[in-house]
Amino acid sequence: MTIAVVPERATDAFTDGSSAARRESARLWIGYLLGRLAGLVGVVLVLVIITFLLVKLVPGDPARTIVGLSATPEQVEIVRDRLGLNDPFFVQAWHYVSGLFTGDLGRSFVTQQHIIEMIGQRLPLTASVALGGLLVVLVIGFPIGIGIAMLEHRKRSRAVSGSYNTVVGILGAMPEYITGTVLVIVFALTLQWFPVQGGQGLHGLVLPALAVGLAPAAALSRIVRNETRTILSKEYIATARSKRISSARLLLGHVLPNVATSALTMGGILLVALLGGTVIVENVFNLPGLGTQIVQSILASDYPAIQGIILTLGVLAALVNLAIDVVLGLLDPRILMKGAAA
Amino acid sequence: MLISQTRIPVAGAIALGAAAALVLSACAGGANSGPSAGGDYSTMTVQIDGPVTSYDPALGATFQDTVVLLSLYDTLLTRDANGDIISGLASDWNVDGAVADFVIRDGVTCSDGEALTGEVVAASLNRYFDPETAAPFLTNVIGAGNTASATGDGQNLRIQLAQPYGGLLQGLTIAYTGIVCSAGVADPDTLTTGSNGTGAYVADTQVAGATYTLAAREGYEWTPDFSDAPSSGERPSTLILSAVTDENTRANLQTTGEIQISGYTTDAWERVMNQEGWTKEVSQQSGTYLMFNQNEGHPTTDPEVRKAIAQAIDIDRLNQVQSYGEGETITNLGQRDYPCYDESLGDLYPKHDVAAATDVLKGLKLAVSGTTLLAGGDANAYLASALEEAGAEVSLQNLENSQWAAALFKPANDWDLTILVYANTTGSLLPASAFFTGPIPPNGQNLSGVNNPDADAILPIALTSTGEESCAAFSEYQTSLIENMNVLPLASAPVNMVLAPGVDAHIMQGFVYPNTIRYTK
Repeated sequence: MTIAVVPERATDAFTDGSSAARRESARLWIGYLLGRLAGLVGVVLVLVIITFLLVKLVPGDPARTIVGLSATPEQVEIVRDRLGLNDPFFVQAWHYVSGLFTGDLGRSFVTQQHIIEMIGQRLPLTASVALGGLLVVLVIGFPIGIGIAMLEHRKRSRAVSGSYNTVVGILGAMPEYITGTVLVIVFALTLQWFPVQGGQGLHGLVLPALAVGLAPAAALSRIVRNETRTILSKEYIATARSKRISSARLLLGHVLPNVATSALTMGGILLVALLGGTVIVENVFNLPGLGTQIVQSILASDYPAIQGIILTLGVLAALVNLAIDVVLGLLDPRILMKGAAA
Repeated sequence: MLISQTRIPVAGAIALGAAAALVLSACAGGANSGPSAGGDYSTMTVQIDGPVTSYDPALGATFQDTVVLLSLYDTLLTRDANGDIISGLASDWNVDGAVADFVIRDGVTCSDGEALTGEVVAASLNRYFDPETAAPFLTNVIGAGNTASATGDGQNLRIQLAQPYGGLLQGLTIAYTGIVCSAGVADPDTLTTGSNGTGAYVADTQVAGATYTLAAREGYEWTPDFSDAPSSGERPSTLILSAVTDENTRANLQTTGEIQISGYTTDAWERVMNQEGWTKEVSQQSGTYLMFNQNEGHPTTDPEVRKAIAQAIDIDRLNQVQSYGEGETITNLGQRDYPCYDESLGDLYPKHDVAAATDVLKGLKLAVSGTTLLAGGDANAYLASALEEAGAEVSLQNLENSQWAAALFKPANDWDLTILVYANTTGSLLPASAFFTGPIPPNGQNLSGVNNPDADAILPIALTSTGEESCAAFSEYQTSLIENMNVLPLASAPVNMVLAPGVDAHIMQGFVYPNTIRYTK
């Protein structure tokens, strides 16, 4: 049984089926989306400017790094010319920006690979690790959070709360590279269940996904636990209980849907954080994703690669945020009012 | 508070459960068996240090480039285990002043079927010699400020230098002089990820920066006659060169059998060697040299200060710190197996004497800068602590390697002392001399601003003569540098090559020669 509670007046436009209401709904959505898209464009613009300027701060001379210590100054100059590093600042900026419009992010200074191709080769793996991490976050964070809250609600057991807080505290505080190293020692070197170097199909993704997902899973489980506790103390839950609804139905029908809204939103935000986490984890597992690439590129002062990868990850993060905003708008239309007004 | 409640379908919950089951079930599969004594390594994985620059030998510059290029291309000459030059693609050769003649081996073919002739080799070398190609190691091959051209006639090849250069034959052994066949020379862009050479392997696929897969060539029968190469066993049909930067990850991958050949500069190899049947070869690769900044305004312009610094350091201890004691102390601008290495130069070194050093260094401010390339820069830290022990006030800056290299070539640099880590793979002492003569950066390579007219006078003789004459002149040159404490050679830094059971190969200066890799089941 569902208790549908119709909220404030502002949402009348969405519950009323009249054409005026539909027009109002469309107007709100358009305003909301335009606001979000303008934000996205702003973020991309800032990213373009930052990525162009940022690489100039990377220490080291790309030309010298490429040719090594033995090359003469004349040879270094030839390489600098070849890389376009001797062009005036605004010419370099123009090449960069005009390239973006034609989808040309340039070529790697080090490997001469087209950056678009490099990203195409490496992004799927990074995305797989991040999505695998998200799966870990949802699959572990959700049930544990709900389970603990239900246990606590039923028994008010200090032992459960205490052990849970300890485990979650440790897991949540562990940086990815430590979690990854511990996982490698236990599951790859000792038990040999998984390969040391991940990335070979689903099997190879398990440890990296766990390494990247365990700490956020601990964080999510706390949020889910608190949400669940709040919901369990609501009157409609007491009503449902009084009707002798089974625990399973209570969980699936009343607790989970309410927790899901906030937790899924949190999951979207976590996905962006997980993308960042993969940079570390890829290096621990020697995965050929964008994370290992960006570390190599920074060490080699490979400007086009650094720019391309940061831009890609930045735009991805902005898109995920946009998607979260849209989902939020669908789930809770009151946001549209604030969004349009903003 | 009002709650807008959403119902997610039971299917959603089932999907979550299924996903959990998927993760758990994945935990159960795919046990990795460790390497057994002599496995089937028809597909063999060899560790390399990082991303490969190009499959174009002329543009190669890094250690990892060397391994790839040695797989895809052959050189005219090559170096045997003891450092001797032996036949590569050239079956015979003779140097007379500025002219070097070679006879190209019969029956050698390129991967596209083209027969290798003197003309083909000449075209490849002329591209390498062209200053516009900007081959990073060109001066190591033909000497600084020199030019060269090649002509071919049938199986004969002639290299004409503008001035003679004593290191030419050694130069022609490095992987970057690998001979590219006609189609590759005509369109060098095809060499970025493709290959066109006479090597034992041809380029197959790659994930740039990660793995480089090479396929064995049928009918490759011109492996050089290395004295330490395995004479029997199977040749891997597929070679995967895998970029693994972290040495602990390398050890993990070797203990689980995912990599068969890997190099180590730290002691991470110990875990691998605990397993039965694995073998290790210590191969000296780079050399380290103490550089004193002799540009105006640095305390190290004073020869007495330089001598005191030399007295403050215990080079044996530095070697211990730098390479876990596996390196060898050196007193020349290269390693012991390089021609003309002069052991007597060690007599010029001041004895380790902290008390004498303290008399000069007490209270002196010294800035030490160095690269983290070897053992995370521990040798730089040792240098700083040794100077502090002698009373100097030391500031230490450990820089990431590319940052350190860029700083070295800046016109104004603020270091007083740095340890130069230099890998010269030609097997000749001569190339390192470029760092101690001529203009300072950015117009030249005189990294520490050495101004030694006596050394400058003798150097051209050493570079342009051959044989005993060259050796005698170069000894005199090095004597002048060390007597004046313009530079202090310290120690070589080795690579510990660890090979899986049943795997063997020729290893030279830290590089495995892929055309010699064999395995026995």
